[in-house]
Amino acid sequence: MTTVLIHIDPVRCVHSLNCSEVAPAVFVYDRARGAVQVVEHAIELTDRVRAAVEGCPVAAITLRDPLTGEGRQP
Amino acid sequence: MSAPLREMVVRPLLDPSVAADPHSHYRVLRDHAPVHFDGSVDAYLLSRHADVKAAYRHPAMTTAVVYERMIGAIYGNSLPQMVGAEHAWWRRVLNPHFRGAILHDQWNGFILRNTQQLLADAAYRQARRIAGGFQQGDEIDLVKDLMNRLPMCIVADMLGLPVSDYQQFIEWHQAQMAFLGNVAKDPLVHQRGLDATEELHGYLDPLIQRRRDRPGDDLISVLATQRVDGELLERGAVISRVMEIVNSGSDTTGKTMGNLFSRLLAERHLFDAVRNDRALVTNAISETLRLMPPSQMNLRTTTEPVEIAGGTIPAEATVFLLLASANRDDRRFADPEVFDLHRTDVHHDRTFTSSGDILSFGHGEHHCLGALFAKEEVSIVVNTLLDEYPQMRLSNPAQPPVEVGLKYRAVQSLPVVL
Repeated sequence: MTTVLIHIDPVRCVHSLNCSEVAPAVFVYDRARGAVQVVEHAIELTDRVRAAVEGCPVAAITLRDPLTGEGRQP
Repeated sequence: MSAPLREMVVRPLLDPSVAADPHSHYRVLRDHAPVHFDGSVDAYLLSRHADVKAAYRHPAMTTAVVYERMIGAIYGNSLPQMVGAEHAWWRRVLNPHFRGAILHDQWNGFILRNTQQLLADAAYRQARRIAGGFQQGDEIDLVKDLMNRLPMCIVADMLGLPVSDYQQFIEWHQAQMAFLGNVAKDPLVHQRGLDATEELHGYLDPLIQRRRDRPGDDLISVLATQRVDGELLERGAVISRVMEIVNSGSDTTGKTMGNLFSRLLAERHLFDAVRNDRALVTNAISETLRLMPPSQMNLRTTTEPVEIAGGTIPAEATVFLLLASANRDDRRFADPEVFDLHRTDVHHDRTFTSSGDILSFGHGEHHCLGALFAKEEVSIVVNTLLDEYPQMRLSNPAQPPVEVGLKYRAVQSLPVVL
């Protein structure tokens, strides 16, 4: 199991809600804040999370290694 | 591949034989000329899945120039031609109204038939209203009598238009769609599209003002009362968005419904499988969109030379992203010509998102705004018809339905016995 830290850039995000459609257990749209929230910041890198990251229309989701803090590809 | 061989095997896109059978042409492109300049449309063609998908994401492939030229006359400053901050702003405003569970909650506060149930009811009622006069055993043309009208009626209902105006609204819209699909640049089609747009502006402009004065719970009221930095949007911007929503929520949706039933009825075991297991409805829509996408291509313009598909596309070139070809690329999909409800190389539940395996809604920043709305609408209509007419069959199985068109492609007629 691979664990990653996940980050959504609020400036890039256009609220496509692609991520919350593809991986609703991880990404949840917060209507009050008008933004997608990550349920757990350190998460298991599942196929759905990969698809959500790769499919984000504006590439607003990035991953980091929880130990080194370095960016990583999905 | 040498140039002489290419010239022998690659026909011009506008050759009538290509429109008759585009997929054999696309196969030649994929296998022999994955990046190919086509003089008949003065554009480069990309045909392989990986290349088309990469082009959608390529920073030097812009929508701005080509869509301004193609659809600016219809839509004004449209979403497809917007880039950067302006596009992002509009997407942030509109996206939540057309997405998943948020769609229903947002609509509950802003427009007609707001919650998921109301949205379902709206589509369901429309389906029943139009199909209501038909009885099992009746013979109808499923496309002409139902699919060409139903999505437009649903959208017009959501816009809060009076029923008496629906027919005129449909005719304006059809003239605009013909304009947008006018790859061959027929001057009459072009002029009809412009005339319809002028008349539609004349119709919508005072309507928008009335909705501002007395907002309702319809979609025009939502847009008409939207503010930027405290200021109401210009009416022209509202008209553009209304027309785009009509486009994304109607013509291609109706074509998808027609294409879907034509395939299910032509291969009866597919119809029976979906009728008996409604969990397969999404798969059936997804496979229809993969094999028979109503919009077969998207366009881009290069802002600088682009290395792709083993070749170079120069700056300021028009590029056709042949998504209909990409969806049948055997480099990506096993047995790509087979309509397979249980296909394992497509995540059917992701087809309507930008994480999808097929490219029928585009990909990336300009992924279709109405994709998830379309999924819901088509699902409701398919389920309704399967419930009401479980024995539906082709009127003449010996004459299977034929798809027509190049940019937009669909069956034009589908006689069935209900």
